[in-house]
Amino acid sequence: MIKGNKDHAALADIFNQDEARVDWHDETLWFVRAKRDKAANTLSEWEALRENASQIKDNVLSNLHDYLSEFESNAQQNGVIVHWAADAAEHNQIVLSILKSKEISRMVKSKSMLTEECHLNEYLHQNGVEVIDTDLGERIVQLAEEPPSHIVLPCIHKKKEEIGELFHEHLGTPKGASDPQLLTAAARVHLREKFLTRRAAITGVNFAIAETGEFVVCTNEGNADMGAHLSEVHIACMGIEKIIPKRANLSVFLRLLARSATGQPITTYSSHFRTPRKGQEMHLILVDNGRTQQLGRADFRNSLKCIRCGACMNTCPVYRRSGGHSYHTAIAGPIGAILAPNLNMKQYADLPFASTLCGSCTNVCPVKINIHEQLYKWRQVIVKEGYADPKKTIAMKAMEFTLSHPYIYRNAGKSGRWVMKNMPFLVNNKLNAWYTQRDMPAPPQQSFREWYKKNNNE
Amino acid sequence: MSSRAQILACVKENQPALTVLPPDLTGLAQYPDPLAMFGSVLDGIGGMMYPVKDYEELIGLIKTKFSGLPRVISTIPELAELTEKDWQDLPPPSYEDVDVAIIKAHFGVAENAALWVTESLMGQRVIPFICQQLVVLVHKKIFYPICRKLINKFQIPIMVLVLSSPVLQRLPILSSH
Repeated sequence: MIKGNKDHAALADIFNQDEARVDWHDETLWFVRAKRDKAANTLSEWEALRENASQIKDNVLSNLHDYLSEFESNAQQNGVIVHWAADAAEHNQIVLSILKSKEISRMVKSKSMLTEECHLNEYLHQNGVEVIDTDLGERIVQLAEEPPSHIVLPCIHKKKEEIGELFHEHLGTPKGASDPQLLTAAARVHLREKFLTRRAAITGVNFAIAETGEFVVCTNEGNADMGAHLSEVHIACMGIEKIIPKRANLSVFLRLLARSATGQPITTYSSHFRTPRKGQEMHLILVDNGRTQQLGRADFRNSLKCIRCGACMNTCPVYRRSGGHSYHTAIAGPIGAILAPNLNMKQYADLPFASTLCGSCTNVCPVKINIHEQLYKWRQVIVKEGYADPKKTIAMKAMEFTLSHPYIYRNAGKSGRWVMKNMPFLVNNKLNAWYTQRDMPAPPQQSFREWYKKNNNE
Repeated sequence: MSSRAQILACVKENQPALTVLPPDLTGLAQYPDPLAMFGSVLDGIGGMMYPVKDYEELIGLIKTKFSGLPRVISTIPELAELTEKDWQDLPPPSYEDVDVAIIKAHFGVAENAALWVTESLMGQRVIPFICQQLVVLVHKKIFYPICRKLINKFQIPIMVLVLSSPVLQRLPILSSH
């Protein structure tokens, strides 16, 4: 694919070198998917909830301008300082300027896919600000100097032995220790010190309620809350699509989110932030970064309904066997593959092709995003725009030429069968992409055309 | 043009034709005994439920369960004999060594074992997160089957916390007081 130097298939090949890890990754995510199914089956109204959530989000997208204005005005009345960022760069600058105005150079951050999308950590690091990720999985990948590979389970690609090695190196746990309880306890001690000494905290936002100006943050570890409640400055970052109209709509999403994500009945902590604590400053940054553009693409705007549960990843047969890093974007998997080309079609032209189009992602999506249809539509747009893999384009043109010239088609078939029979090494080699994952079939004695001619003329 | 104006203009230009908000769902799952359902879900996610009939029994339970833990705080006046005095106005980091925090919840939700807590019941926002053990007291009559519209009961929450799946050995307790 023409998109810089990254390619899903090539990156998946790297992941696939360790077959045992691929099997384990596949099984672990399928376990989560199965938990999701069990949780969904506990509610007879599950499908009605999905439909309701989808319609609420449709309403949000159709009235986003007014809801954003309403939310901003209510949040300001609550004492929250609201900022607007057109893109990732502006978002990062706003965060830095808030920190600079308070002379803060060390901070804690809870998991936020938006800040990953904006590469905030790198930006702050380059500007002399130390950022400690406080979600356990995020902290692990941060210590490993890697991006998260999953939006809900950021270090799902790492085995406990590898985490033990990282903790031994960075947190001083005994060499060879891999007991999850011991490692978690070590991380807890390490992170508590950071929580208690950092003056600023960044959190993401799961839902922002236009009616009240409050925002809701869902975590299982309570790390967003620890950071926010101990700090002098709380900065919350959200994409503009996170709005929901009323507080009464919230329960629909809270009931769907954790069940879809991990199979839990609800996230451990679902915190509503409305006003800053006495003596605290609360900032909220509303970020566009391509979202308004996606809103204008009728075929793809549904992707903005995403509530970031990760169900589509857990169920995707490609994601489970290729690993999150093969998607080379902050949000991996099926949903990432329809969001990323909106930001940069050339750079992410490979991603809509990283799918079997089986539709499993669409079937589990709690807000009914037509993910597999959008993947298919993106493929067409990408080919039309000229970003398709040149090898595939040439192959398709050659196929078109062959199929439209019967004489050439007949002879190509004949030569192909002869080569496969008499000189198999010419097709059974690494240059033949078809051969890398499959055995070549035994060549038939004759073509159908030859068989038909023979059997009908006698 | 400011980013705000630019974003809002672009949203207005790109948003599709207005669709209506769907009506609230009806005919949702009901649990004949919400309290029993709550206990069962809570058990499944690692919490423990202890029915107690009055404060006297609660105090006895706390003493038994948490004997030897020095720093116990609570926002419940009836538990004053067990807990630290005048703790509520300290700077948030000073609660780092709280062993047990005991707070009330407004209500519990059967389907997911969630407990609804507003800031007024926490004393300090950080309390439910920083303590080593959390005990949440909720009246056994205040249980609802599902979490729908309940949030609207609290028109002006400053900070609401929905607690579920207690971390470590946290201990929600029910009382009939």
